[in-house]
Amino acid sequence: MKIDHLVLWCADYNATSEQLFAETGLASRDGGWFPSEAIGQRIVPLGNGQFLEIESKLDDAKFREFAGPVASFMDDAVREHPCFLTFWVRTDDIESAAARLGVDVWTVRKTMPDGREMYGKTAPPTLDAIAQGLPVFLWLPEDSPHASRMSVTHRAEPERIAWLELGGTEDRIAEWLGPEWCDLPLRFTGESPGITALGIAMRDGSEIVLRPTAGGLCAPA
Amino acid sequence: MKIDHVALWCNDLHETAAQLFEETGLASAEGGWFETGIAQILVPLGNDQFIEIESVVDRRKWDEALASFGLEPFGRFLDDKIAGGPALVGYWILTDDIEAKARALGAEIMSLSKTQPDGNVISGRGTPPTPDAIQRGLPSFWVSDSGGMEVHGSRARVEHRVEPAGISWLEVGGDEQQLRAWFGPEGEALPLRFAGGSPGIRAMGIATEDGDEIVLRPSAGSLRVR
Repeated sequence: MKIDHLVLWCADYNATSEQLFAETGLASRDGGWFPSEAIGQRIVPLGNGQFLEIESKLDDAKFREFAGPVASFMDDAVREHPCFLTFWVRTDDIESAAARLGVDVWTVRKTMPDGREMYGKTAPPTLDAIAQGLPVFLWLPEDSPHASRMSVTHRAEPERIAWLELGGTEDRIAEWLGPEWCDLPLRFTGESPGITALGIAMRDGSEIVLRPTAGGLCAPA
Repeated sequence: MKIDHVALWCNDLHETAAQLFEETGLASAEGGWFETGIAQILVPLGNDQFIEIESVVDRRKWDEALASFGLEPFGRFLDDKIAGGPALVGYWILTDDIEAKARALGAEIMSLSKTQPDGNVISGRGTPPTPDAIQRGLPSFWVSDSGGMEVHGSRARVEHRVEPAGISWLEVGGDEQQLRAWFGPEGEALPLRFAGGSPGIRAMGIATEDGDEIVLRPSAGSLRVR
């Protein structure tokens, strides 16, 4: 089991991308948009087949139609600063993952910057996971282009996700992800569920820690 | 005197760009963003001209920016314009002497800067200031302060399904005599069609290399006139 990607949710994905580059040297590029959800994104490849999505809504009315009651939660979450919402782990068998958890499988469609459409399946539907502060299982077709391979010019070279710091309990995550969960580099704070920080290992041996606050994305703990 | 670019304002820039491609074959590329919470997508049209598709991404930042400049009426004007779908809202004319234009028009000059997708910031100046021009249905005269054509919106790299050859005409409302006076003698060279009625840009024609023409006249449900 491996972390595929995580999302940094914000009010303006362009401004937050610019802020991330200014603070860390991590560059990004247009990742496309979700037509049904009215969400736009930029992608930050992190090495090791992993990446960060920086996302915000594009059209408030359409987004509310999609997100329903979770829309207000997501708006409130970024009132002061960007925040991590959830992370995705890849699976080859999304149906089994959904059956084990007793959740629905959701098909997500994205339009790439070049106009091509791609799709994937998640369990549970992403909004359900976000509302509970839990990760999402993700299945992608074999020929699907992976965002981690997007070409960008970082000022500093990331090697991989070193760790994720989570609220909630270890037991709940273990139950949710199943026995393979211990492959993941997770740290637990015991506070309310959700991602509180991300560590990115760099090729030069250093580490970038993203812990969004009103003072910055890299503010210290 | 030449039309440099036209703004197509909308609720969701990605959706409108996809709609434009579907209806016309005109492709687009990410164009960058402004500190005011606006983002844009560029549609190069040939002949060093382009369309910018723009929308608000960060509503709170946009509202704060409008309030800080006392421009709330401009925000409402734009919201009203797109209540029924995307709308052409403004156009810009290149000038070599922005100060002289501002003096001649008795207008202020507004500086604008934009972050490009590669992170570089480019800037330019317009007169009259964009909110004033758009609300009056007039063009802004424009000069870039960021070097040559390599950063010009018309150079955005895209793969159109058709080959545009420049803006062939703009249909504008408003009083024709006032508009002619606004442009001065040089304005006679502009491909404008005067429609009368309320001020503002109504439609545009885009020539294509095969001799055809694409007409954009946004209305509920479609951008193009077939």
